[in-house]
Amino acid sequence: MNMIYQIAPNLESRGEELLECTVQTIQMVVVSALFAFVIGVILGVLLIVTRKGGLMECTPLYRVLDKGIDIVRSIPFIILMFLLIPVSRAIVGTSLGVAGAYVPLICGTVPFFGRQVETAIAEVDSGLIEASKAMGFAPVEIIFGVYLRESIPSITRVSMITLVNLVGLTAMAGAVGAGGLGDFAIRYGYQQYEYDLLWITVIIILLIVSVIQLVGNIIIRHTSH
Amino acid sequence: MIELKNVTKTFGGRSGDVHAVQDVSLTVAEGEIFGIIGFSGAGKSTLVRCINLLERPTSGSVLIDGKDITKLSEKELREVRKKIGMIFQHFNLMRSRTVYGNIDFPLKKSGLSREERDKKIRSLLELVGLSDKIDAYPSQLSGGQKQRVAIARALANDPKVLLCDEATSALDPQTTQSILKLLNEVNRRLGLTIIIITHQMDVVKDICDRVAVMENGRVVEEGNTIDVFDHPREPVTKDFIATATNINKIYDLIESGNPLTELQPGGKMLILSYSNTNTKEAVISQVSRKFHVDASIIFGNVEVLKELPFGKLVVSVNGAPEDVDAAVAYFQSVGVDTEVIKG
Repeated sequence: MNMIYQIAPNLESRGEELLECTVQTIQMVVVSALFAFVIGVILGVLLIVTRKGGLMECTPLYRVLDKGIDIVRSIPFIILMFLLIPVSRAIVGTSLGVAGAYVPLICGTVPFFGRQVETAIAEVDSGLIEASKAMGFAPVEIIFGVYLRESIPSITRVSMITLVNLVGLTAMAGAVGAGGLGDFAIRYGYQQYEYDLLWITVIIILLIVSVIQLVGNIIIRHTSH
Repeated sequence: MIELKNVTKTFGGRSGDVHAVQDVSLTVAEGEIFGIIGFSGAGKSTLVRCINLLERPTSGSVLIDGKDITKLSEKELREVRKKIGMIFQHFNLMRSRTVYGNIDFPLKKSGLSREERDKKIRSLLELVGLSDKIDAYPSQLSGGQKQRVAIARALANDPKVLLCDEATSALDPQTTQSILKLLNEVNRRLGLTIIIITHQMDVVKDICDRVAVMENGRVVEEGNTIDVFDHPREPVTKDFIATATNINKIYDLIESGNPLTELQPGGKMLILSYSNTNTKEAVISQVSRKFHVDASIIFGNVEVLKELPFGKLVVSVNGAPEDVDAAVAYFQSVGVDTEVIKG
């Protein structure tokens, strides 16, 4: 420990707070990711099945989803956060701190992730869907038994990409009052010139990203055949 | 048992309507192997999809055991589909499931217990000869093996009908033979009605009892395979038969003046068509002896079609002109279709 303090002298006084901020970041990533995953997968599936020629073709719904995603995706995250302040207050009760970051983080992630899931599911061979229909399967059974099941490796791949993006977004959210490592890095590392802390946050984020990729790769390896 | 009545399927497109299937009426009897042959774009794949309503006909009706399935609800239709197996050109197996899992997939809807399903999967794998690949993933199998798994999967819910959409088109000739043999076996052992879509005349020749020839969305010719082979009426049918027998090569040889096609003065070149009525007789040697002519086979293609010999021979007959004419008359008199192509 002493050796680390020699390299990063400011850590001695800020260590406890750094730990707290790391927990906050992980909390923001995990909670937002869970919600974004569920909503994104539903969105991706809906885009696939409601499009023209899809399992449950419904062009009006497809158009709404398609355009909605494009609109939300084109709003820069930093602006989106401010736009969503009233929404967050209505749903979570606050627009501050970790809890206040959930709504913007989810809204910033879902459109991107939904598109990625759409692309992942689109890779499933249409012949497989035809074969399943010929076997007498209902649309819902095909969604779970074929579309999602067959695209586990590619959904895992896009989930990793999105999760890493999400880590980046939490840092940005931190800068405007959500706490977490982004907030920590800016407050001490940037504003108080404690560069050792800046580097330590980078290392911690690097570790988080590595863990995400490690887990993702394991899942992909075990599900691709 | 399967009856298509005036089935028409039109696809609306930006560049106008595409009439994929036009006013097709067909009846397929229980237990028969029925072939539908046509060049690509003839509408045969759309037609076969009209049988299980993967494509809903624009007009017309599809009767299975006398019941018009175009009138059924989605739910009732799904029940009917369980009893119509289907296999495809590109097998359409799930990459994420093993051979076992792929065959188990349709059984999930059967209501059988886990043990019963297990027993069933094993017996199906035995039927298609893949018991040793039970835990393999599709990516580890060859094309022929994948199609065997697809056949096992298609048979899982004990269907009465098996639709084969270009099922052998992605396979090499040897594997095609083995798959056709398996289909034949399944047809005999389970009494399954099989409908085969193909562009390969060999497939029809090998296993189909009856055949329908499609062109531009219509069925232009239909009948027993042997009759259709024997006396094709439509040009497209003749084209298909020519691709299967290669007999048309002789015209190219004559045109290019190949020495094989040279005749002595008074000689004639003939195409003899063998059908099942006369092939047993040694007509060529008889002609040589009786009429003092030299009859020599230039090339030919005689084979077994639905267990009966069938084919054509190109023969040159040389000798005195009156002897040659008498020989030609003799061929005709014993019932060999004789066509003089040169001399």
